[in-house]
Amino acid sequence: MKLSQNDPTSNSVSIRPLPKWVGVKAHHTIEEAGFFAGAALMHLDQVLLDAELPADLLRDRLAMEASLNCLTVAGRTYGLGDLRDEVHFLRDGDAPGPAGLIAMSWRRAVERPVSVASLKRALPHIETDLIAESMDAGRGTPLDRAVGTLRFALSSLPKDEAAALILADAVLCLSLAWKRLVPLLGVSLTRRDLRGDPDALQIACQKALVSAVRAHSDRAADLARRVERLNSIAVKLRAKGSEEAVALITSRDAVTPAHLASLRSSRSARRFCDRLIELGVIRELSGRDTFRLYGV
Amino acid sequence: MTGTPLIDRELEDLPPELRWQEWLRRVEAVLFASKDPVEVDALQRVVGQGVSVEILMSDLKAQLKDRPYDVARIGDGWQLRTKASYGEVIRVAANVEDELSGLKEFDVAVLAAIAYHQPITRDGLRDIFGKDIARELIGRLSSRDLIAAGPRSPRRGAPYTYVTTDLFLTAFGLESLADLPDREAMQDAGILG
Repeated sequence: MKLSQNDPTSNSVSIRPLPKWVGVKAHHTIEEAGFFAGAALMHLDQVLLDAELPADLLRDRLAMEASLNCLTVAGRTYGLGDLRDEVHFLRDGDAPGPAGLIAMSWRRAVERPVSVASLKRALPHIETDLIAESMDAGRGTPLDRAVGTLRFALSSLPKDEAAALILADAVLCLSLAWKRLVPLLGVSLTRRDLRGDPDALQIACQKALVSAVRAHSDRAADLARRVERLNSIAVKLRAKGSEEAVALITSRDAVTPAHLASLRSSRSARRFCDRLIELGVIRELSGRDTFRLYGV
Repeated sequence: MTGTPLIDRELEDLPPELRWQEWLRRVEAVLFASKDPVEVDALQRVVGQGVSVEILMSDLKAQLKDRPYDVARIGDGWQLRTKASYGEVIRVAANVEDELSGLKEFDVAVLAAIAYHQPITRDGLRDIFGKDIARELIGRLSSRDLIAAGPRSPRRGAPYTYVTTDLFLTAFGLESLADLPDREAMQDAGILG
């Protein structure tokens, strides 16, 4: 089966980029920046409603990105490749390292509808009352509420920026009536932003939000195209269990052959994935010949 | 008889001040009776619904100000610990073995390298120290529960990586790994590569 030369930038996907006029400039006041932050959220609201959006995949990728950002905030330099190895090769009974723990928190936070219970599952080291209290700390617009949560959590848990950012993004999404968390502040706020005074933090959040929405919209469109191509090939695959395998590949940051249990053996899973690579619809993400990681 | 006995958590009969005192005594009793750190959820079960264990603990800490022991947060839980300044006295009186006794100086250096570079394999440790790290050394650290097996490393033989444990935090009096001396400062001082 030879593929027709599918153009990955073809425009069959309807997810649009964030309009160029939405942007926070250095000279903007909090009120002006608030206008653009609102516009960006409106845009992302539409993106998330798009039927073509591979929402689980997008969230998982963003959870990994947010984890990397949180590691940078905590003063650790980490690459996506190293983090992927730590996360995807972890087996039951293994203890994750500190970076793996942060990734586990973000991935769990985006995986289920936001609630105090789901956040407790993502942040088992934090007292339930403290989670509930921080979620209730802010008042006003959705972003004001998220910033209130962020400030409260940072002062109660000064060394756990990852937890504070997860809670802030959770509150933002809840206030916008999005059932599940999309990492926004978590992917773009810097260590310096978090140390700023309340006004500086507010404007940093507005800015972070706009840049996150811009990046997420482009990412969403790209992933939607890739998944569309993979699905168009997948219907022609005859291997038993291929449907479940494709469903997993299109919902996770990366998979190892061992994850694709529906294909019944690691060897056949590897063959299956290598075939999809040949067809140009998935990628090998680790750059290794062994212990490979596959993803859209 | 099986099952958890029912206790009166809310203590509605008591005036608020005495109620708070009683909750403080309860959590202190639970911590006193336990050798290991007690998780927040366990403490929550002996006090009123919605009472913040966090606030109880900070009150307890204040009450223990003049005592030779203190309450410390370890990972997900809390533990009563004698204050560090009484360490010598206790060692003289009781000849206690702690988690670190019996470890050689180099063992502790390897432990520190694991703490900063986790998850790390024996190969990774060899690169840091410029020599092979004996399995026995890793064994000494894991038999004391100072380290545990982390995710396997994606290279030939899929060797285990090692990570530090909650007991490691206890042994060094750290609340979390964020309390390790600042990496940047250590790098500037030439202690860390």
